[in-house]
Amino acid sequence: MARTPRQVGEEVWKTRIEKVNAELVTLTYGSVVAQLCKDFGNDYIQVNEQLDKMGYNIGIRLIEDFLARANTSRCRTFKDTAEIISKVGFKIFLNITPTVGNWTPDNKQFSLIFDENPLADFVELPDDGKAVNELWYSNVLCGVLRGALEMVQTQVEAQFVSDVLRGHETTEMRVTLIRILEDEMPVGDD
Amino acid sequence: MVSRIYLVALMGRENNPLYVRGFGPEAPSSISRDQDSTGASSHDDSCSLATTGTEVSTVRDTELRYQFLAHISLDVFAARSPQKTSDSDFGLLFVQDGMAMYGWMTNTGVKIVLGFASGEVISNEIRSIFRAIHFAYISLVCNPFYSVDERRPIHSRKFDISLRRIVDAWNGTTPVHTPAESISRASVASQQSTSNGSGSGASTVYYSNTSNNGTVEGIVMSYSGSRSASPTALPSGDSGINSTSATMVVR
Repeated sequence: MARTPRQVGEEVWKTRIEKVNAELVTLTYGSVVAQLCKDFGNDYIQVNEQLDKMGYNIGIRLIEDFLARANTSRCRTFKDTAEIISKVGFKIFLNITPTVGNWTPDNKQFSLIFDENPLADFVELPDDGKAVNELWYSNVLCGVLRGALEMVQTQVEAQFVSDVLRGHETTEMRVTLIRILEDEMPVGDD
Repeated sequence: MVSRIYLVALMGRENNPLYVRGFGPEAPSSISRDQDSTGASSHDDSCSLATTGTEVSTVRDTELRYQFLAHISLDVFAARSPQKTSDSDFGLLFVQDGMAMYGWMTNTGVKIVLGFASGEVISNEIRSIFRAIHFAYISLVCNPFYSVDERRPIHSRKFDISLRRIVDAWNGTTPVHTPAESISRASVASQQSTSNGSGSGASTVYYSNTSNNGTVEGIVMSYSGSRSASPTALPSGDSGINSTSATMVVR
């Protein structure tokens, strides 16, 4: 297709997506995280893991929806994958387009830099000293990426390395390609 | 001479104090440039800019005074509520000790009280301040980690910063001018604040960014930054998971 991922994303967002109120999503996710924190007694490492698991379960289902709506061609390289994730995937589901950057020389690792995060609107991490060092509030997104990509034969590891809620400058997620589960897609030296 | 905000107080539905904070020159949280202000403490000789020896007691006196004023305003709210029809704005509640108190009650029973020192204030602008404070309160309440326990006072750094910005925008950038110009003050203030070195970053947040036309709604929208409580305010057609670029926070 001659259209860039950005154009695809915009077009799908405008035409084929039913919208829902953003505050509903934000508040729902917020109450999920807050409840998890309460249930696990503020063990934020556990909460991170649970969010990742939840995200994984979402991702393995979300990928079908995504492929049906976006109808993009198969990605040839991991770089293509990154572009599609940021310009089409995030655009369709959260209406944001995080920036792709910080590629390693072997093209197996990249960063997604979020300049806005609708899940984290209004949020202020609890002031108990632990949360600001241990909790990755939007960790569900890492799980979603991991689950979704696994369904398209790409095994990745995704984790946050910085978060504005924690006081850092940016919110950045690091995505690492572990391996491709099929021979069809050339991905550099494997 | 336009009056300055000296006190912001929030009270809950059961008339419990949620947040009482002074912004006058005697208040402990005031910034240093307030101490150069003239004509500020005309009503209060005991609270004049004191030496460190008496500073602690004057600060405590001031805090007590603010608490006292906040409680008086509760009585006024209670007295006037039966006659109040729909509007949240209670206007001028009373004048005491040279401070004029204005009140605003939200639909959930949370009361916001502003204490001004002497001077003229236009009601439209008061409303925009109340709305901005209300939005700051909404942002606080929407925080999933904040327990909306009506009885506990508010201890949130973000809320403190937001209120400080609102009050600074009102106090810090107000030039001396006649009431007639006050409607156009928004544009004047934003120009002034960009040229004003100290704290200009904070004050521009309240008044506008350059693309804003300075109406009351515009001011409030650009202040609140995040999506306001009523999604109808968004310019674009879809109400939904919208990009926040339309109502972007001015950093």
